[in-house]
Amino acid sequence: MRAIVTATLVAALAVAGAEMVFRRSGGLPAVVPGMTRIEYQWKMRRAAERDGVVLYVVGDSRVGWGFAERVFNGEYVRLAGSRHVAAANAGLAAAGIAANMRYILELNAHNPPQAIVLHYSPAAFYYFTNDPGPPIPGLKIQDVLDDRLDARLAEWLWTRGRWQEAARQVAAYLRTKTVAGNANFVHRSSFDDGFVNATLATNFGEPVDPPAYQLGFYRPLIGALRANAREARARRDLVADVVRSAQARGWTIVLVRFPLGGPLRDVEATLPQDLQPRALADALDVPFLDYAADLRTAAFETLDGSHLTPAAARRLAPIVARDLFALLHERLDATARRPPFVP
Amino acid sequence: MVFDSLFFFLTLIPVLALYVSTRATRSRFAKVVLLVYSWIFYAMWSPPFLLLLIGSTVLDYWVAIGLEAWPSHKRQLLVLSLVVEFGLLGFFKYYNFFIATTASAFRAIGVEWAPPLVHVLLPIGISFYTFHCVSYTVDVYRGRIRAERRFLNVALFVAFFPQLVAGPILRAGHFLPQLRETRALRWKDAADGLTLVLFGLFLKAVIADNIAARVAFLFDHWRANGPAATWGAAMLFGVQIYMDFNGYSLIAIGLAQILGFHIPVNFNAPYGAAGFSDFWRRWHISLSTWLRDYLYIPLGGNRRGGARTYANLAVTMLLGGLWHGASLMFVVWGAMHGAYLCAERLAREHVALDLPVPRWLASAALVAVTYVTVSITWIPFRATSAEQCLGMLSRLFHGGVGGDAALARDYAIALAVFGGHCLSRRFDVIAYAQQRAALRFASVTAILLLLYFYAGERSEFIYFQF
Repeated sequence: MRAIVTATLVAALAVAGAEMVFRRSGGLPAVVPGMTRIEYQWKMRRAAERDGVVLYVVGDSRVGWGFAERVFNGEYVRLAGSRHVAAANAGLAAAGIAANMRYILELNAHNPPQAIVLHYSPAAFYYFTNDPGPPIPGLKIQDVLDDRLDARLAEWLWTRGRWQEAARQVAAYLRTKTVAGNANFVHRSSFDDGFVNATLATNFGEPVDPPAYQLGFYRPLIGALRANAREARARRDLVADVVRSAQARGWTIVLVRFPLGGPLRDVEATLPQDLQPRALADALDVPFLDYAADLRTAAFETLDGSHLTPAAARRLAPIVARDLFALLHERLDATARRPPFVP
Repeated sequence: MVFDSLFFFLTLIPVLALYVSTRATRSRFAKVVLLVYSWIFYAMWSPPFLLLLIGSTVLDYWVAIGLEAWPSHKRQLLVLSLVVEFGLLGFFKYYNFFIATTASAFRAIGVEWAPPLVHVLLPIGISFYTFHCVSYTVDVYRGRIRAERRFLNVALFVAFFPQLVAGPILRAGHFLPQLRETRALRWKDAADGLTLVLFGLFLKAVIADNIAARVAFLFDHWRANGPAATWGAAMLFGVQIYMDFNGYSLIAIGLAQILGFHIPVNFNAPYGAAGFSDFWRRWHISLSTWLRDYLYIPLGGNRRGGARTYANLAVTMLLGGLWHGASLMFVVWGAMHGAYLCAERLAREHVALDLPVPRWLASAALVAVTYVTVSITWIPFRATSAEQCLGMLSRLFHGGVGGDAALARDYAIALAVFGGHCLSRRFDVIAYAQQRAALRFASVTAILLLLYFYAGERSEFIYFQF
């Protein structure tokens, strides 16, 4: 036992040393800025097991950080007087719309038709490629708890499971004797309302200007999309195919856009007309609710010009619930009362 | 619950503390702690199926008591137990397979008829705990052990968390006496157990999980592979499944040892086996001995003449293959092993080889042939379709050889494991490391650091699906 205890102490010292060197050389933790794949799959599976209709709100981190599903559900129950309809935040950071939709459609292959609220962001529709991953067999609550522990540990133990990255960085530091500037998501916050957000930080001691960081990402991206509009249109057509196949199976699809900061909205408005959300809704033949241009919500506060603040997310959800209730309730209520689908 | 999990170890620490502090003075309470934790461990996967586990336990507890109380109804009681246990196993594991196969057979003769498929989940570990329960009732029926009067002991025998979901398969005759006595816990057992747990975690998280993606790549792109890559895929999967399952078994054995129980080893350097019967004395030992004692010997074993012996071997291996899962691929895997065993027996009985080579060379050649032929069987075991299985088997011998650095690394890993197993025929590495403090210190330090820096992306233990 003495050998084991000594070995544990030596290993702990070695880890502490590695952590110190990594931090001194400019290392930062790396956390997933939103739901992890395991959290996402777990949540979607539980949603798919529900009776009634589930409104899957599909999008990238603008949904993941900014859609308060519980507030939405509370308001919808109040309006409908029943729990037949419930929403699930299916926002996955940097996820493409088509892959996200396909996962949900396959998950519900044996269920009655449900509903998808597609959230428009140019990155999600025309650029991002992250996906929910292949279905994890035998996913259980322990995996989710482990995943949460892993996510929390990633904030404290920066080198855990990252030996290659740590070694590269330390080697670069030893070579150049300078700390390279680095910005990363360093802390994740999970909210009871059903959304997750993350904090951005740098390793050079200066505070991050989140709107500038987002504009620094989106300006070149929108420029590239303008320059390669053909590629963006091909991505749009891919989404349109998935939407049509869902509609053919009886699914209800709606397009929405959440509020965002003025400068970013202006940048996104420079996209070609046919890639704008209104034209997209027409192309997909789905209703469109534009909260970025809605007087009730357009001025809602954002964290960084792109993602809503938690308070704004909570204020937006009941408004979305009321609008969707007015738009879809009869259809969704009828769908929810339909007998189960037998393959 | 699974072992390669921070959550598991976090919950285990208070349970261990409670168990250790009460075992000497309140052994019954300590066992209740273990049982409740074992049931929670199981329910973490699917709470409703815990009822199935408890139901099986209750049934066999009463059947065993009944076997002693009503000797004139022994046969009926045993049949009741076997029908229920194998009925549940058959329904959950094989119903859809049976239906799909029947529908295919009807389609082959031009009849479009398919009974309804049932969308049920497979209760995790059902193959393992069914075998526990069956071995208990059969041993009581045969008079080898007495029926246990304390339900707590039977329940803990069936649900003991270290081995509940993926074995090793326990025997009542080995484990129940350990539950009846309260042996003092020793530091040495705890240290040895902890070393095994760490070593098992290393095999699973550092080796198996890190090569899982490469194995998946080789099998997913089998059409593009030539003989070199196909052999590499088969051998690397052999490494993965060995590391995965042996890792799980070592963690189970180590945890049991920390708790003061002994579970026999499940693997003994199987890729160093000289012959197929030797392989099965070294691979998944708890299953192969179970099949020998409860299937092969009751079928007649080798006592009923030559032809019957071969038939018994074939049937045992076929059912052993089917035990792994409801798929024709597992049946093929079992059939291949059955054929190997029959061929080996035939050769031993009828072919007298007197080769002019040293005995060690003949032995080394036998080990190499066994390794290569066993590696071939991993193709049907891992293949997801008959087309893939046949395609890969044919690519073992056809096509351009090719190869790259990644493939060279695959071969290096497989051959390192093979070499290590050959070495283990004469040298017990783990026992050697456990006896020397300096070596134990060095290996535990290295394992802890590798687990911290280099653990692969977590994946389910392969044997959980069985």
